Amino acid sequence: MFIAKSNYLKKIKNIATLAKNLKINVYIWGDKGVGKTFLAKYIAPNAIINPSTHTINPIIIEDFDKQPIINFNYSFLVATGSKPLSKAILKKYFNMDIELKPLKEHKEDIEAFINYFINQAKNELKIEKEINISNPDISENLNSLKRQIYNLLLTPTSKEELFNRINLFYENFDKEIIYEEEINNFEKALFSAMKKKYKSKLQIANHLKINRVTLTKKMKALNV
Amino acid sequence: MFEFWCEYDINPLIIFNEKGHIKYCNQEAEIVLSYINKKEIYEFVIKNAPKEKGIKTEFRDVKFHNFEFKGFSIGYEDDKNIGVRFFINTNKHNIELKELEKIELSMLIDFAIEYITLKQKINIIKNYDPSLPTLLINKKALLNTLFEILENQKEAIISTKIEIGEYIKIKNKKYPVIDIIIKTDSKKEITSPYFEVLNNKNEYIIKIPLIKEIDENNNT
Repeated sequence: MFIAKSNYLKKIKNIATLAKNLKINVYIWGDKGVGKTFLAKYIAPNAIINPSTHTINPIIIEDFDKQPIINFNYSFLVATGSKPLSKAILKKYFNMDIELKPLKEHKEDIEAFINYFINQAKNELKIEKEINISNPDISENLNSLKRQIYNLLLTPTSKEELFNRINLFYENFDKEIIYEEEINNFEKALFSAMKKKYKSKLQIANHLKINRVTLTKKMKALNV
Repeated sequence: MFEFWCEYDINPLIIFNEKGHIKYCNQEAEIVLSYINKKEIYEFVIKNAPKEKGIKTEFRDVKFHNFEFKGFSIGYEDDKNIGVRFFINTNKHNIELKELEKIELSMLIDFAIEYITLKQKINIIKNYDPSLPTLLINKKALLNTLFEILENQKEAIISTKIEIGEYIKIKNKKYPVIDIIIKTDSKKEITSPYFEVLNNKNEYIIKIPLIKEIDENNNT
């Protein structure tokens, strides 16, 4: 499914569809997680990815900019990379290049991608849970956004679920564990979350039913 | 005996009588006359006729609408008949046929438009001939020519049409011609080893041989 809400991605979709029908050799480049391999597979759906010898099928070569040489014949080539190619290399192997811009430059598409990844994650993980992404993480484009959604879906919603997870973690953890260090880690995580939630120490102390002076000392010691 | 050679000459030959009516024309001239009014040619002939009896030959560009000639011979022996022989442009036949693939031309031009409008701001109006058949073409070469023409332009009108009666001869084979007409600023000099590209005022015309089959042998 080619998601395209912004005019920019609609245009990319049009070009990709025409390139697919006309079998135009394309080089796709852009940052991490912008969807280069997805676009390559859309243009050449039956392609062999990174083949080492001649094949009659279309081919997709990833990270082409790192080693821009092909030593065998091909009928239809789509390649991806993180940087643009020199004019000479581009002309030798391709008819054109497409730069896939980062998500921050076509923000209109973010919501559609969020919905798509949520449905995908729910389906794959068999989890029925409603989540809300108010601050989409697009630091690594679709990669970080997808990670954020999966993480959120897998975040425990009850204490029982959380402690089951911790239990499972310690059962499988095969390194040395020091009691005080682990307790400190737990307290640090707890205070950090409370700080984010309640902002002031007075509020935190009230909610956690702990003396404010003790809380301040602990937070300082734990560098929260 | 000589009429046979005149008839199949690749240069159009026309003989007018004293009233400006056509007394004879060869096959190539018939094609020209189906597009250009005979009166227009007759007026050109009278205007450029030699002052004395005999033949006058000039090598200069002569243009009648879409027909371009590299020169002409005009001559007469008596007061009754005057003849003209136009010299066709023979440079355009050195075209390479390489890496041909079956392509829908309109789709390929659409692709070039989509791509160029992604890279730059340009206003393009399309007007394609719907009767264009699927043809064999060097798509990479045509895309490069289109990109070269449209690069850095602000606007363009692109139309296509089959040039009825016009042919391109490549390696002794005769092919009908499809024109891609791009009305735009034409300051850049565009050439291609694969197509004839006319650099006219405010327009480029890419002349594409209409090849339908690889082993097509259209000598007629």
